[in-house]
Amino acid sequence: MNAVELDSVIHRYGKVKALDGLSLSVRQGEMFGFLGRNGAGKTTTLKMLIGLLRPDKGQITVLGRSVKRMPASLKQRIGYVCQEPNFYPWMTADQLGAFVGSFYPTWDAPEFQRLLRILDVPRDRRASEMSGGTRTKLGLALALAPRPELLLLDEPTAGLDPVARREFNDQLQVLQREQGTTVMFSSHLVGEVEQLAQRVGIVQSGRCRFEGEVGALRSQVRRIVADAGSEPGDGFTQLRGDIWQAEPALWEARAWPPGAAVQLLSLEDIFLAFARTDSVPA
Amino acid sequence: MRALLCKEWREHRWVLLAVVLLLALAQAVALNGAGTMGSPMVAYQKVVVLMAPLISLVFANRLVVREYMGRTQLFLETLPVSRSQVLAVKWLLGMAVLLLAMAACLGATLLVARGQVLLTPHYVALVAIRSASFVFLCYALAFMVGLTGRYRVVVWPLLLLCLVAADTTGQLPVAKWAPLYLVQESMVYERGGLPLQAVSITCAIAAALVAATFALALSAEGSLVVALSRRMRPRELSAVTIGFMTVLMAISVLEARKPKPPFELAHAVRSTDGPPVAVGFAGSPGVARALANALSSDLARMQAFLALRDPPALTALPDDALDGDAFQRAALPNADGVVVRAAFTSSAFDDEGFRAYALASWMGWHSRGRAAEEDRRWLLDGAAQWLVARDLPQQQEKLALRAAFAARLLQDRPASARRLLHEWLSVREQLGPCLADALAWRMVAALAQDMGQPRFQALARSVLGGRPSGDARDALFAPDFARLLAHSGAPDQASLTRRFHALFAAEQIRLAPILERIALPQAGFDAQRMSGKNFEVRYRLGPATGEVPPFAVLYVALGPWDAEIPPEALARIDSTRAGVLPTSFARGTRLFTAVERREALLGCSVRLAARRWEVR
Repeated sequence: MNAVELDSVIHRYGKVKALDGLSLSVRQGEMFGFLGRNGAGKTTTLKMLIGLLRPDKGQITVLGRSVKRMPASLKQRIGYVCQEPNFYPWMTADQLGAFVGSFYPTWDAPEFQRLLRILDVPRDRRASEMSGGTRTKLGLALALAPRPELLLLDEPTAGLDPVARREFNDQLQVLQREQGTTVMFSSHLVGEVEQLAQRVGIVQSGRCRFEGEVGALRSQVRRIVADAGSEPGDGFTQLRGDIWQAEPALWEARAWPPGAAVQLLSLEDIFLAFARTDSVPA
Repeated sequence: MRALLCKEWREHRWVLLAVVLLLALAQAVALNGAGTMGSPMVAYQKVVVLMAPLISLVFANRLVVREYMGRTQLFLETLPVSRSQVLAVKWLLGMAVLLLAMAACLGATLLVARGQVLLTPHYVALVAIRSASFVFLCYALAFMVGLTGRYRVVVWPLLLLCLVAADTTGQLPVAKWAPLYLVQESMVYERGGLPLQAVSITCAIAAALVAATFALALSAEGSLVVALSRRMRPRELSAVTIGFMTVLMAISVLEARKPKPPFELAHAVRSTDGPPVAVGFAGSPGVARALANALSSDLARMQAFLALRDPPALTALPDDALDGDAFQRAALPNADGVVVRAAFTSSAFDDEGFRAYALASWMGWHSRGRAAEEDRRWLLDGAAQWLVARDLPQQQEKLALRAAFAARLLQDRPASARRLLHEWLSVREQLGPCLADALAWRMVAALAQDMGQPRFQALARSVLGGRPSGDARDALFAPDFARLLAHSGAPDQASLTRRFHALFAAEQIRLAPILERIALPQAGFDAQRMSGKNFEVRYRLGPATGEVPPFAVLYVALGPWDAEIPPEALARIDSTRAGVLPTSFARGTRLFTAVERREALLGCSVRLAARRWEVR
């Protein structure tokens, strides 16, 4: 069973279409990276999964339940960390733990204390006195302490320096392994996604352009350096310039123009090829 | 729910308690002053009216605006709790604290009112239900407006403005509207039964506001309120400010153009024919009737002379506190017409002087103050006297004597004499109203004689007879006095001044035997330091020691912009010897001081040593 399934989801902000028929699925127990440029629809998608927004059209299933109105019982099984957590500035980490914990029957207070220790979050400091990175780590602790089945992270490392980012990601990996939680995190940092995610989804202009394992992605998209006018045949889709997408079997069959050179690409190059494509294929 | 309630309480408890303490303080102050209000229950009513809206505003601001503007509601929404639950907890907490605080106020009032007011359970329930309904509405409104985020700073002034405009400009019975009717002072005295209709309407409005509050908070997944709670952009702020100023100006213009009801005096004698005149009853009705008819006759003559239309009603009120030759005009903020005051029953009452004063006040009203502008004021003062005295040779002789004496006083002030027509208000201030009016009469009478009746009438009509529309643009394009003089064929102001001084000199020679019999004692003021920067001001008339005939000392501390000093602004001390003003003054205070002495030969008060000066 998939932890998350989105089927042809559409959502508008006034006249702006944020999601334009987005479909993807996240498997249980995996760490899923959600890649896309700013404004691609990542945050909107995650807000829908936690129940902050409702789709105008389409179907969303979270942990086996179709979500039209997010019931509190389902929300209790989901952890959510946003880009800039808006904690009450006057509350300390302990007070926040006590407050948030009262909403979750599965809240594990010792685990919360352990997480604070591991993540190096001071217990008795007010949120207003914490740095952005510490607040994000506190958000992670608050999200993990109820032992959620699904953890949604919306660009959690966006405001962190490289050291803090690496630290955060390491801890996330460890905790995910320990708890077996399904993690779906959004990012526009390709390296981070490559390091953490088992599978990725690339979203552009509100639609999913690719969903699959990182290895599969790299085996599908390559650069073909050929003479002008010579193009590969059927089955190849041009993403941008000389970057083409095709099924691995076609690449293995070497079905590209004679005399052309084929180069493997980094995930970043592939992401840029997707992200910079101006027109979205139907 | 409990966790939310605890969180709200922990976050806001100090502010809630501080506001409740403020309420207790207000209640204590009100109860302390209950003696002057008539009943401790009135004190409670005042506290409900003043404090319920204020506290509602503070609570709503604290519970709603702070949460949304601080964007902490985004954190709350990620927790497994619904928006409606969050809102309900906030609403109920604020309402409960507010109602408890008001109930405590009522309890304290009832304790104090024991023995003074008949307190039956029925009466207490009536007061409690009425005030609770009002509190419910105030809080519901404040909570709803709180959700409008940055626009609450627009909504509140607009609501207040609408209420004031409905009350003043629209003349709507705002005080009788259900919510306000509930907490009127009558709440304290009505024991018959509950005003069910008013309570129902108030509660229905409050319930509608609560429903609207939840609808707004839950619509579009709460994103509407989130959008509203963003901080105002400079462009928005400018638009709001301009919009607000426009509304304010529109209301001011409407208010200025709104016809006011005429001033009505209940117990008055009215003129039998001619323009409407009412004279307040003082002593014999015969005196009042004679005065009313004389004033009406004067007004009719002036109306015909100046070709005036739609004259306002003139009302004369008796005021025994005034001297016989002192007259005042009453300000009428909420009514139309001209109201003047004088001591009708005083043996020294100057009947003709008062009639001329009434005419001048009437013309001032008609010209919307234009005729009273400094460059033409002498014409207004003089024309009023001239119209009254036209067929009264004795009055003319009296005025001529006063004018000659005034001219003699002016000789000591050559600067003022030179600019007689341009600085008429200064001349008037130095001479006092009685002598200044006589001097103005002398000038107008001479001008009328020189110009001939038809041309003088044309001049008077162009200067005094017009009624401007009240539009500021009229003032911009109105011809100045010099042009009006030239247009009607009158000499220019310099020629007039020369002509008048020649006349004054001739009159002083003609009346010299009488004028020489009028003594001019030395009068003066000086400031002496008391301590530090404080000064006392000494006055004297005649010798420094010993008694002199009675005189009055007039004084007033001037503000930076004071132009003409209204007679009622002057403080007065009656004395028969030199003395000290009963007030000390700081160094640098600007004062106007004068001594007035009644002169029997002139039949009016003579003002001496009148000047503006600085204490140092």
